[in-house]
Amino acid sequence: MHSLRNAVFAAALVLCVVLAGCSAPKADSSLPPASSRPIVPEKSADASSDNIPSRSEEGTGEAHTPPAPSSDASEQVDLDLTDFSPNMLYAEVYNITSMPEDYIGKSIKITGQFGHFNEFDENGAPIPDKDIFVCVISDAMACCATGLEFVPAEESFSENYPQDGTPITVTGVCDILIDEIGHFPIVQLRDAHIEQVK
Amino acid sequence: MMNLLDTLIMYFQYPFVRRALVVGVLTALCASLLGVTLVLKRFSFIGDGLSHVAFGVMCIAAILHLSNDMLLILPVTIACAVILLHGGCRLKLKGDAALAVLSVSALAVGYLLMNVFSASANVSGDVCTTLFGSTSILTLTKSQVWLSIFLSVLVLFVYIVFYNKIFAVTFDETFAQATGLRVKTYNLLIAVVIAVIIVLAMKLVGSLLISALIIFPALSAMRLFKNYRAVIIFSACLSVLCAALGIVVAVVSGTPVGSTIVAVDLAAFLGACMIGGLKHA
Amino acid sequence: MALLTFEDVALGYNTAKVVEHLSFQVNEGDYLCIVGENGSGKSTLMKTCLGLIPPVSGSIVYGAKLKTTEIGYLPQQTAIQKDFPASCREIVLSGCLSRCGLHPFYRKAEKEMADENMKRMGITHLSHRCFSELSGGQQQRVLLARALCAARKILLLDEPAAGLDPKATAEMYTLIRQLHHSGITIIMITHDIPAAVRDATHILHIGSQPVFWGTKEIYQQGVFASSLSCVNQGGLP
Repeated sequence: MHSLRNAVFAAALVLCVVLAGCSAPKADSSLPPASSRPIVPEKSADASSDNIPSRSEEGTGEAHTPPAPSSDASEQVDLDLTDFSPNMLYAEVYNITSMPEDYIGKSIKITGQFGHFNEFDENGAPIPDKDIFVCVISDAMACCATGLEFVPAEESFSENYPQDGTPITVTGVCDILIDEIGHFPIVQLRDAHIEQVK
Repeated sequence: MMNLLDTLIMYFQYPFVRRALVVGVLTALCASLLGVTLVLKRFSFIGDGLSHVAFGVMCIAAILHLSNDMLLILPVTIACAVILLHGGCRLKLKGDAALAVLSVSALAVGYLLMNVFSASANVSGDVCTTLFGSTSILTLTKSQVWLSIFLSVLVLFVYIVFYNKIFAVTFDETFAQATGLRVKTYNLLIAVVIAVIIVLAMKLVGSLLISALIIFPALSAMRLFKNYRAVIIFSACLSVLCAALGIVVAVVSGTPVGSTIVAVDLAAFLGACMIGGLKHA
Repeated sequence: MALLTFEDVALGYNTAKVVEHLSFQVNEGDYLCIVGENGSGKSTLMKTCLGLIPPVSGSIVYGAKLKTTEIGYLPQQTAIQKDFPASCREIVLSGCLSRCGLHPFYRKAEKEMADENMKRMGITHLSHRCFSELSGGQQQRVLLARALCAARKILLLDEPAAGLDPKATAEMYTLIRQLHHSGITIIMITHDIPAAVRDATHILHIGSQPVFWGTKEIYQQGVFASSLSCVNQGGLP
């Protein structure tokens, strides 16, 4: 009886370790190590990775498998997060902002709330005509928020953008921009198309 | 229904979901095993108190901008557990008030320091996540995942190897000591293991809800079974099931992960009470 | 062959003394009953014998052949055990722990010993029943079986008949007498003077100075026996 119990426990242990091994993140030597993560990732993440790949390099080798493209045939995106539950959406956007190298070059579609900020120079004064647009995502309890900055494909967007908090859907290609002042990476969705959600 | 299944399968393609499930299930398993011992020794309050202390230390780690806060939280929580528990049964009377003071102070001072030093961009959010565990299990770093798995497997191994001795120390400390068992050492071991589990479980269900993860499966098992081995095995299985179900439901429907797991545990407990009541009638 | 010798020992907690100038010896094959009023220090004495509490002063000498892992102990029951979910077999087996040493699991020899002791106590039919569902007498037998698993030479019993009805009490004393006849040294705390006098070889009466220690024959003739109220019930010549 005791040997049976031991065998069951040992089998359970082995099963857990095997499961863990299958799904644990695989180290990939071609990619730089993930930066140290702040508790809530903002644009001003205190990233320490100093080997940001250039635009042409794709994020390969990581075990992130994007899901099948959305059923909307008109827009084939690599990563469609519009139908995700709040927890999944928050977690995946957290991953994008923490490990952007894995997502560079992929087209991403997300739904969130529109936000607009001005960029500031060294003295803290707002720079005119330098707008920052973000799509903000809150988690289920709405106490934590993360977001993705996007750069609109159309120049005219800067003159006519919606109010803060308007629900929008953004589709763009993931890329990294190095901040000129702080030299930290900012994740952006380039060539972004914005639609207001009815 | 099929839509739900499709969604679930799609979500499971994401590594962070699979990781959350594995770490969550392992943590719940370890918590339930020690939960039986804690409940039987009448030390249930320890889980709550230690989790508040761990929260306080986490706040300090955030202020100091430590990249891996587990390196600070683990040793300090273990030290507190050892101090509180090493006295064994005797400590229950003295320790009750001391623990209350320690636990509430850690909570208050931690939150105060976080606000004063503006340790992060969103203090309330961080505190909320740490206390209630809404999405922290879905946003684990690689090092956190490996550390959690390693610690869980270690706890499991220790529990299996010392199973009989833990039983003896739980059932009758005096007899165990009188017949030559090193009771102090085993109480120390139990204290260390509990501290480790609490630190792990903070990521899963948050500080405030850890007690539920530790206690509910044990109580459910004791309503239904009357021999120790059955209680342990059922408690472990139930805890794993509830944690897995809770994580899946939370991920699909968007509810906070910690509260969902505890709600499932509670439902299981009520079910066990009913079945236990019917058995007696 | 002396298993246990107390030489001018003072018992108590920290420096507060409960009993002083205690000197006695327990030899192999003895049956010592410790009697005295409530609060006289009987349980303290037993705990000191077991090494759970250090003596305030004096010396305790254990016989060369006696190790702590050879002492069986039947303590008074605690609240925790009253509704503990454990089967009788699990509890009796836990008495074998001291024999396991570093080995994590019970081996065949230990399981056989546990079964043997349960048979001796007449509780084999209870082995898979839950401990908390048994009657008082049955519970004491389970705990006695557990004590036997741990005991090789000497058995210490703290009021084994406490809370039992007369029939169960009589059965318990019969069992203990049989164990004594099979060669185990017995040290027993009891309130039951007639039983003590009937079965014991030596009596230790603490609670008043000077402490009495001697054979039961001398005890029966002495003034101490009459100082306890129930002396004339059952059995004195």
